[in-house]
Amino acid sequence: MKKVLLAPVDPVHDIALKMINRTLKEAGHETILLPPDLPSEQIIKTAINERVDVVFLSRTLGYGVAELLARFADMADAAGLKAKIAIGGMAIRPQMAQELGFAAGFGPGTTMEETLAFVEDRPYIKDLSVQQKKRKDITGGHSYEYKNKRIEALLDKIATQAIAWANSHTSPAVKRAAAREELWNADKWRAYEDMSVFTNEYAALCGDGVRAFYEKGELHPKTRRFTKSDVEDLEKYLRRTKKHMQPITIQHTLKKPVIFNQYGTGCPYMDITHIKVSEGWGADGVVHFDPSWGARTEGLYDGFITHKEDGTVITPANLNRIYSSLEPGTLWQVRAHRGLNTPETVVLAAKIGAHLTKINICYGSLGAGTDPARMTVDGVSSIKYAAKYGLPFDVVTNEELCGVPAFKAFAGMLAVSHIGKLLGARPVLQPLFCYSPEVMIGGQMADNYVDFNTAKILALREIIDAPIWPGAPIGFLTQTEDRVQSSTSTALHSGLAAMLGVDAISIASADEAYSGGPITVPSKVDTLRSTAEAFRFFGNSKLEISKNAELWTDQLVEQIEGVLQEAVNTGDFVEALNKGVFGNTEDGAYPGRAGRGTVERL
Amino acid sequence: MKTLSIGVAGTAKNTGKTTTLLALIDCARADGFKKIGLTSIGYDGEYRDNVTGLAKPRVFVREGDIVAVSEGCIKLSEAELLPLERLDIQTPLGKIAVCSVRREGLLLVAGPSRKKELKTVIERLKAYGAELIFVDGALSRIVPMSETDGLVLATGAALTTNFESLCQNSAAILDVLSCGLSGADENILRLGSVFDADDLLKLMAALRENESVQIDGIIALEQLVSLSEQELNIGKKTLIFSDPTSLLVSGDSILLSRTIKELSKQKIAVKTRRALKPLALTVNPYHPKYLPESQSYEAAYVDKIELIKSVRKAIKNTPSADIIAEGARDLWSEIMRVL
Repeated sequence: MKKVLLAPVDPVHDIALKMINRTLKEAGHETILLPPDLPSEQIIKTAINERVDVVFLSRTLGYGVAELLARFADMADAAGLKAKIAIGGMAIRPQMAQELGFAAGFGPGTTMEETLAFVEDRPYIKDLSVQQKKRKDITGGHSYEYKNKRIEALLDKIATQAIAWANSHTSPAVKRAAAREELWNADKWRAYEDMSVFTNEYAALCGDGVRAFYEKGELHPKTRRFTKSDVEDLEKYLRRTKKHMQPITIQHTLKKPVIFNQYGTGCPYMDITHIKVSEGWGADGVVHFDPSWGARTEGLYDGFITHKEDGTVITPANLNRIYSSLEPGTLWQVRAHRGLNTPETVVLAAKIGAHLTKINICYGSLGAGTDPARMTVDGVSSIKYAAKYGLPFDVVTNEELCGVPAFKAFAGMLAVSHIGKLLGARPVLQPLFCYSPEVMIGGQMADNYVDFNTAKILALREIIDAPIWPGAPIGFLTQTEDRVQSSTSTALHSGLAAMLGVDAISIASADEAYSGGPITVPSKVDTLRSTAEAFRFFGNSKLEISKNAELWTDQLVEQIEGVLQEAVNTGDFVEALNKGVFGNTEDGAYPGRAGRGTVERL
Repeated sequence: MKTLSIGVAGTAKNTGKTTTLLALIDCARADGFKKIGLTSIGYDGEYRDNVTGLAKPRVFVREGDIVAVSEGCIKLSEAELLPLERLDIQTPLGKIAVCSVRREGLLLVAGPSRKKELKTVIERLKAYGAELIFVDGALSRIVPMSETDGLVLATGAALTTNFESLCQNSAAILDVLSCGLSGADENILRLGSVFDADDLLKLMAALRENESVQIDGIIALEQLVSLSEQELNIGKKTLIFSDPTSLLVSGDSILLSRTIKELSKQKIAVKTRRALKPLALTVNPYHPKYLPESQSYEAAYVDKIELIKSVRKAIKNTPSADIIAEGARDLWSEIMRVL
């Protein structure tokens, strides 16, 4: 037990000291709380006469206060006070306490545990989760059991047929993935060993552009290699930044959701700086965005290269650089999901060290321009690799942004995730939290953004116990060019997501809606901070489910079942995609053409 | 040869402690000192001032120097430090570690804040072979400096732009620093600190009964003044403090010095057990000027020639210099002569 003197060196500000006083008493220490505004001499005299072990002072900083406090420290020292002295207050930082001559400085954000540890001479480990941030598991705790057995039966039929059909077909991407799987070894590649057996076989399976790279060294016209000095600079930057990294925690008292930020400026160096900012400000995971032409190009380039437009090119060297920049606790998702390199992206990402991927056959076919047959063959192959490498993958319903109503997009998402379930993978449902064309026209969000987004989550939960990760990013199409507005909207959507108990969310930067190019670091910080503030604000408080949300929940479940029934009636998954069962041209979904005619029957 | 330690204290923030320290270190190196020992009783080496946001001088150390800094400074310093020993001295930025400089560079230096701690740190710096030790000050703190062998006082326009007050203040501090040592074998009564009127009554009673009274602690300036105002008529007495910083900490140096003189008129001599040798005075024309319109500070300067002239006129027994204008070479020679 310690004896502690608490003295507010200030006429009014003594609330923090009262809180500390209570904490110390509850922990069994003896405390003396002095009235505010006593002269320094009086405080020191009391501390000496009472033989206290610890003195806590509190003071808001103002003109001349630093000198006053410094003199206090000096007087206590000269008077022979043996107790250790801490100073607290709004403007106090450890550096300032050091300069003033105190043993500790407690500023904003100080926890009571921190003050208790100081009194008890224990080392205070500043929030264990921050110091040794562990990678979080999004899929844990979910059984993938269906609550709605009718929907399960429909999904069984659709997924079984899709898998069987895909198993009897192949594509250039499936072959490249097999080559990458069998002949490419990340350790050997990292050790600069000869990979020519792989390269020769692989190049022959690529489209003209990528083949020209492997055969003649020609890069994509919008890319260039990093120079030696770029690389040295990057390594220096990383060493310096990693040394200083002290990530904060966003979740406050919540266990969920896991927070993801996206990156993909085109330049892996800039991406790495963005990732370090995301990590520093508390993001739990980052998502790699590649260029849109990557989805329409057969094959992956290699080399440490930068792209002059949006999206960072997926190459072993780019991914490897980014991977090695990550803090140990950061989740890393590399999207495979939508184009002509889906299966081999999963293989490559897994071999480099990714923790998550993204695959959605329906969105790839209907919203991202890939031929449905090709996307189905590639998608099933991708999911198998995801299962093999233990990579959870999310199934994003981005086709909602094209105008496909949520129930159709969800039906497609459930079909793909059920394929995942049957193949032993761990799919994550990724419904959009967005102001979609569907609701703009239908009016479901005319009054608020809460009820329909709530209904989406509740509907999925009515169907299956699977992890849910609204995205991507949350609040899509609610954000404007106003950074405050965007950050607030993101924060409110985050708060809603947290109250609904979802497993993860992706949040945009405050300038993502208008940047039209690389986003800026301050905007990234904006939304991470605003989300943290929303979590602090709502904590574990719960949401009241409105009548509308209940109504829309039931409606969505019913409509999803209807779409799945229609897909079953169609008898063929690819045919259902082409026919518009999961979203048609009237909705705004167009079956893609990239890779058409490249699927071969085995 | 005994390893000496030099403290650099300031009369206020921004009076040029760190600039003085760095200039003196340069002189020491030029004189052939290879292993400089360095610590601070505060926090130094940041790029900008915590309060004013203005640029600050930064501490640079060379390979082979021995420094004592909080663990938090080790990884944030540009200089590469090899920790040699972790001391049981807690600071807000971690325990103090004695380190040798492996690669030269800028140093963030946060060190011990109490005199007992500084004593240990100086001993350890010596043990690791530091040839000359410098202790950087913080704000206007001075008490831990009593553990050094001599003090360089930095003052300047940041304290006040009124030259007369500035000179009076420095002269008063130097007066107190030279208030004289007490003999060892006197019959002494020892008392604790004199904080208030009750304590003063005890002190007066003690003075009546004893020839010498030692205060193991401090005396509130108000009580010292009150003592000087009493019609005591108790004959020749000695009031002893452990060292001059125990007196200086009580506040307004001008009033303190005047009060000590008043007491001596009443035959009460104020002495100290230990001395803190004043080595030199540096004066800085710089001061941060507050701009109310933008709520920010800008660097401003008083007339540097007039300033140093006034100081030299008022203070004759201690060498003084404007380090930036005149360099530190001459001052350094004086310091080494006195030490």
